[in-house]
Amino acid sequence: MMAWKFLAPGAIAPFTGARWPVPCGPDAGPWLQGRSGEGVHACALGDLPYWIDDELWEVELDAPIFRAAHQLVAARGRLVARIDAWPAAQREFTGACIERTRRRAVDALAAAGRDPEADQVRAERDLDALRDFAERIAASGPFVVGYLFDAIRRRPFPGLCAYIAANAAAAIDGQRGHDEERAAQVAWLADGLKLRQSP
Amino acid sequence: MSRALPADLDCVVAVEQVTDYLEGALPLHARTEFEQHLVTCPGCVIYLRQIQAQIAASASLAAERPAPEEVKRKLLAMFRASRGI
Repeated sequence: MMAWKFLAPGAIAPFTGARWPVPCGPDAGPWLQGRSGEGVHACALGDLPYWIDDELWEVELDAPIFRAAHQLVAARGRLVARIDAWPAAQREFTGACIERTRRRAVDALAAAGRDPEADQVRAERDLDALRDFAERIAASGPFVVGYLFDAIRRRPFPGLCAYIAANAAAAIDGQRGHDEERAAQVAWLADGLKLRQSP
Repeated sequence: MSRALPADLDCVVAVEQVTDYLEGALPLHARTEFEQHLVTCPGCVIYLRQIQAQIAASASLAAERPAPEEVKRKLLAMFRASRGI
């Protein structure tokens, strides 16, 4: 089964430090066996925003494969090809997360009758200025403005920025809002990186 | 992280789980939850790296020497005091 995996620079598992053997030329890399009882972990398309890191690889997983929370677990896996468009697209991705959070903040401010502040949040193009403005007005609500401040402040960390955007949506519309924001992130990654889930 | 973010897994809990994580002792659900916390918490990633570096450095030390009884007693007392036991 084909899937994807985010890794730290050098094809290293970001937390365990395990080094994935990289492909040589057009051939897939050697199989990497998971530690006993743990397997190797990878992402279906819908899992990707939960595990963002610096390198994105297409991986082949070998049976048995099962689904766990936000990930696939397989007995072994191997790297097939690097997705070259990543991490160059990170900035665009976080920008899209911030823009969706900005729209939620604008709507919430307008709904609270704070039109001048809504207009300012809508119009401000400089992200640092928007961050500072959001911080100033966050204490008096609406709550989602605080998430906007956080999302901008944490934009060097795309996984965290995506998480904040999802929590901003959840603060407004609960689980449905969260799922819609995550779905938007998946759609961005699929379109922006030209990823297609095999059947 | 600001007050606006609900914590899925508290940093205090994550720090307590680091050793179990590195030893592969966390069940899959807890392991996933721990790693999800790391994705969203650069501070805990730094802490994990420090522990990994510490383990690697310790492994390169000379053969084990048993600590003197007095040192063991003091360390145990400090540990119990930190846990309120």
